[in-house]
Amino acid sequence: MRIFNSSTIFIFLGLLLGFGSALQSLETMGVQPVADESGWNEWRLSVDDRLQPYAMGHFLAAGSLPAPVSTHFYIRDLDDDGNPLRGDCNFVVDGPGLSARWWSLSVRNFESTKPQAVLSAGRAVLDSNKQLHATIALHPTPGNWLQPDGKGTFTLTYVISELEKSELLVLPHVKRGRC
Amino acid sequence: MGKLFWLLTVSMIAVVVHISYVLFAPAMLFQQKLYQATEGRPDNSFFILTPEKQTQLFPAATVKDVVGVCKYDLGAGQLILSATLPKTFWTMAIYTQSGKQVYALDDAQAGSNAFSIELSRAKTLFEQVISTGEADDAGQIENLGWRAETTERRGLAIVWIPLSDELLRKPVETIIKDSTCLPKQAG
Repeated sequence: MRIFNSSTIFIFLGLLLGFGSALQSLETMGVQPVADESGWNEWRLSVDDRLQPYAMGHFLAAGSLPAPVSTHFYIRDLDDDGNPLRGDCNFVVDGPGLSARWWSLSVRNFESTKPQAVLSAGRAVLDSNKQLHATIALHPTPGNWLQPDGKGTFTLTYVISELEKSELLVLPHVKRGRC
Repeated sequence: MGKLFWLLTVSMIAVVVHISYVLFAPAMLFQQKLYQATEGRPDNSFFILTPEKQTQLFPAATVKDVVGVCKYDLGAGQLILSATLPKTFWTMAIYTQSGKQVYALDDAQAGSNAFSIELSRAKTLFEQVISTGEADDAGQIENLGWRAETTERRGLAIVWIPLSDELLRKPVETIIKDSTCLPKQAG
């Protein structure tokens, strides 16, 4: 009887550990910091990536389809200094313009039903050195402007489709301005 | 010895549950959510998603983009997806109902903005083994366009047209609304 009780506990413990670690891994394992320490995290959706099942599982469990394989999907919710991205502060995004077939930079508040603010290829204005400068602020600013939905926290998403193979991908910096 | 046995047992159960859940549960959850999201839409029909629904189903898209969906069912045989798309960057990807991408095509690869893809179910390993005496697939292709095979009977073909301005949405919707995905006519 005692052996039965302890075996039941151990089996239950194994189930709990497996289930808990799977849920946790689906949330966190599929998205990993980019090697250049830029503060961006990439969803590891490439089929030859060992973390791909976690990234794909994360999207599927949320009722979403992963991006096509030719697309890179980056997110961040902190600026370069580790401060959370919040609507009550201004943030400046600086980086090189990309020669990818398509890219979009969007401010998403996943708890909001309002459409997200988007800046994309064909719409963004680059400077004479082909650099991208954008401001995330509640109130209009000159140049490329992204308006967050309220003063709460938000996530910055950078989606890049079909980057030129010869192009070295440099992701933009995000610096906090006035709060 | 007893402690080691139970430690190994707990570890083994945890690993098996972890792998099983990660590999199979999300696909089942997706099928359930997909069924709810596309309820009322008949199989083998093409429709355009609203901006809110497209960012939920396809997070790579923004609210400015246009996303068209063909909800396919190959139960009745092959399917022809015919699309007319604008002269801009677009991507078409075919997914199984468990979320696996089996095919992708973009405007540069297609070389044309009006094209059709013949979609059929891939032979199982058993079917491949028993069909060695039959003519190969190359002799059976009637459609000179694109051809794709999927490992599952049901799924979604997604046409994603990223746009830089929401004002372009209406004209693009007008261009792609006549796209179809219909079972291939016998004979």
